[in-house]
Amino acid sequence: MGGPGATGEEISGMTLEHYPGMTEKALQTIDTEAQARWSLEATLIIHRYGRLEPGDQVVLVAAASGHREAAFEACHFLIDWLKTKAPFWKLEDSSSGGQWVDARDSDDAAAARWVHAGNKSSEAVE
Amino acid sequence: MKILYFAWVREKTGIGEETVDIPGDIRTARDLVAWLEGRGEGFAAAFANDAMVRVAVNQEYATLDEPVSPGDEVAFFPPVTGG
Repeated sequence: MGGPGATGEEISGMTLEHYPGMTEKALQTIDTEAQARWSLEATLIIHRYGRLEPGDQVVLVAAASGHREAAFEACHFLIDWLKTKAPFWKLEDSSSGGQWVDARDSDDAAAARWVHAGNKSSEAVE
Repeated sequence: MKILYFAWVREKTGIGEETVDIPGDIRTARDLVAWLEGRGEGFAAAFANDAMVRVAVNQEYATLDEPVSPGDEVAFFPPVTGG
């Protein structure tokens, strides 16, 4: 987390809010979908919440597969879908006070790519 | 009915979570929003733009046409901005 925020001002910190119960369920659903689409050994999603300072890490997604294309695509899918389907909200602090971050069309577009795409790596790529 | 409000929706309603007895004629999330809007300025402001408020019923995303009943958990929140 760092750099200018949604308002273009330098952000001094951020609070990530989530919906206990639903957020975990949503992440599980996204993970299950990835496992259904790709041949994966394992996946990992870590998403922090609460107060974060500039430079802090926010989210990590990881996927292990016998085929690198599947692993890369699954990671891409996990981050695209959690940004638009997991209940988190960002409140950015700057010199002019707190500002809730608005959802971005670019995130929605990124997620939409996976709606019909299925997985591109149907054949194994070593 | 348990109702939860998140992010700027909560800031406008002034409440994060409440348990309320809803009027008997409320059938859908849309009916519920219409009733909530009448509960005060903050509620009216929170729901002023339906397009900007999402709803979940029993922790599942829903639309405003989703049926709701007194035993449900309903949540209202802005579009999500995780990641």
